Amino acid sequence: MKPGFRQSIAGLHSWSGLILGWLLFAIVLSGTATVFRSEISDWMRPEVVKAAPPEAAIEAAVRWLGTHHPKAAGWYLTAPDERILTTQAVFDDAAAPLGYRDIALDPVSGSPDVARATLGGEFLYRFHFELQLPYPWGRYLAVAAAMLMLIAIVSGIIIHKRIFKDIFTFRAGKGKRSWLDAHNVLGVLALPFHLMITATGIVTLLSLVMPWGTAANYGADLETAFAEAAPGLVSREAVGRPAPLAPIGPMLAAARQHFGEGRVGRVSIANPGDANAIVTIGKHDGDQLAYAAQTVSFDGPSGRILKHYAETRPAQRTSDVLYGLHMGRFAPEVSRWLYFLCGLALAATIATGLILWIRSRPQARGAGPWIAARLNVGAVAGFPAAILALFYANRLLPAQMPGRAEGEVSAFVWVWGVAIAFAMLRAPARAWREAFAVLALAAAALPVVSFVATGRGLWSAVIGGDWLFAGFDLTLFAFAALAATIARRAGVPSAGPVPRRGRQAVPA
Amino acid sequence: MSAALVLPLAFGGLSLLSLSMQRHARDAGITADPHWPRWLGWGGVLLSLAVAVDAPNWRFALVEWIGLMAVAAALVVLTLYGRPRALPKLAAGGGLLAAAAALLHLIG
Repeated sequence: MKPGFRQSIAGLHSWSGLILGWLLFAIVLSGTATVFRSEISDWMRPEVVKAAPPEAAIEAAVRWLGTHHPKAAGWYLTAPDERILTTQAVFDDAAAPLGYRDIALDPVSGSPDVARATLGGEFLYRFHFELQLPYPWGRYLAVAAAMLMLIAIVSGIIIHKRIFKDIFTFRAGKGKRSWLDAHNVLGVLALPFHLMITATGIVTLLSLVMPWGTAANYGADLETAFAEAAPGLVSREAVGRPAPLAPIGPMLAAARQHFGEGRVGRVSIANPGDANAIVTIGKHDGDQLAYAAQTVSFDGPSGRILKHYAETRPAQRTSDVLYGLHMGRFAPEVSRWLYFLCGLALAATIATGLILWIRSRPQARGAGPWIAARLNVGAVAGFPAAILALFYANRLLPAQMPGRAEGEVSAFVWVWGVAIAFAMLRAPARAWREAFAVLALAAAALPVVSFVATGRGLWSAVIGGDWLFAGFDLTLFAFAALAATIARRAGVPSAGPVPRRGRQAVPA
Repeated sequence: MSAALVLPLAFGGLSLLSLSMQRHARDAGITADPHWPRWLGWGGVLLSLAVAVDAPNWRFALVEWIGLMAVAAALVVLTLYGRPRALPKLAAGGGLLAAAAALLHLIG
C-alpha cells in the first residue's frame, strides 16, 4: 500500500533532521554564542580595559599597521563600539600560517600585544559557517545542513496536526508524548525566528552554492561581476610608487558627515603606502537592518573623496536586509538576548528531535540506532563542553605561550572529540547523566577560575557596574543550573514499553 | 525600554488566548464563556504590537516584538505547566497594568 502524504512527509521530517542533526546542533549553538561575539571577545581579552573613541582607535590601528605591516596589500579594520573595546584587523601576511592575520588591536596603542593572543569571539563566528574545515568545504557542509534544516522545519509544519490547538501544550511525565510536546512547543513558539534564521543563513552562502546566475552573465570574468555587485568600491592597482597615507582622522570626519546619525564601522585601506592607496569607510553595521549599506571612498595620499555610495538597488537592498537579519548586528540589547534565547530554543528543538528519533524506534536494533543514541549524547553535551573548554583554555594557558591562540582552538576540538568518544563507550542513559553533571560543574566553576586568573570576579563586577563580566558569570551559572536539571532528570525510565533483555533498546 | 511594557501585554494577551481553550481553562480552574477571553486576548496581542512599533526605529522594534512574543508564549507554557491556577490572576494583573500604562504611553 502506498503511504499517505502526511506519512511520507513525516519520514522526510525525521530523516532530514537526523542526517546532519548533530552537526546542526553545533552550528546553531555556535551561532547562538556568536550573538555575543563582541562581548566574548572582550571577555577573552581581560587585559584590555581602556576604551577609546572609534576614530582614535582607527588612527592608532593605522599607525601600528603602518609601522609593522606596511607591505600588506590591504588592511581591513572594524572600529570598536560600545560593545567591544578592540579594533579588529584583517590583513595579508606571508609569514602567517594561513597567509593572513585576523587580530584584535588595542584601541589606545594600536598594538595587538596588550592582550593575550586569542581569536576571541571571532573563533565561534568562523566556526559557525566554516566548521574548522578548509575553504570551501566547511561552508558547503554548513549550507547543506541549513538546507536540510529548512526542509525539516517546513515538513515539521506540515505534519504538525494541531499547530494552534496544541500551541501552549506541554504534558510532563508521559514519556515520548512529553518529548514530542517539548519538541513542538520549542519549535512552534519561536517558529518565525527559526524560519528566518535558517532561510537567511542559506542566503549568506547562496553565491557559493548557486554561482550559475553570475556564471551565466559574466562567465569567468569575476572581477567585473564583483565590481558591478559592489559599485561603491573603488578598485585600482598599486602603481609601486610609494606615497605616505594622508592622516585618516579628517577622512573619518568627512565620512561621518555623509552618514548623518550613523557611526563609523568598517575601514579598509587598499595598497597602503602606495600612490594608488584607497581608503574606504563604511557606516556601522548596527545602524540599520541592512548589513553594509553606505560607504565613502578616499584617495589615500591626498585624502580627497573619490566616491560616496548608498545602496538603492531593490534586489541588493533586500539581500542586505536578509543578511543583516541573520547577523543581528543591529540588535539593541533586548533584541540581542531574544536572538540568543531563540537560538537556544532552536538548539533545543534539534536536541529533542534527535532524542525523539530514538524514542520513536524503541524496537530498533543494529548499528544505526546504536550509534545514533550515543551520538545524541556526544553531540548535545559535547559541543557546550567544547565551548567551555575554549573559555577555560583562554584563562589557563600561559599568556606568553607560543601558538597560544591555536592552543585554545585545540582545547575546543579535543574536548569535543573526547566527549563524543566518551558517549560511544557508555550506555546512553548513564552518559546523559554523567556528561551533564560534568557540564554543570564545569560551567559553575568557570567564573571562579576566571576570577583567580584575572582578579575580576562577579562581586567586583556587580559593584563596579562591569556588566560584561557580571553578565558572563550569571549566564554561566544559569547554564550550570540548566545542565544540572538535565543531569538529574535524564535517563529516568519512561512510561514506554520495557525493553527486552539482551541488547539495550537505546533509551535516550 | 518598551520591552518592559510589551512583554506583560503580550503575556496577558497570550494567557487569555490560552484560557479560551477548553483544556487550559480546565487546568487553570476556570469555567467561562471562551468568547470574551479570545477577543480580549487578541486585543492584548495587538496592543502589544502597537506599543512595540511605536518606537524610533519601527523595523528594529518589529523584530524585537516577534522575539518578545516567543518569550511571552514560553512563559504562558511554563505557567500552565507549573502553576496553572495562577495564570488567570497573572494574566489579569500584568495585562491590566500594562494595558493602562500602554494607553498612557500611546496617548502621551
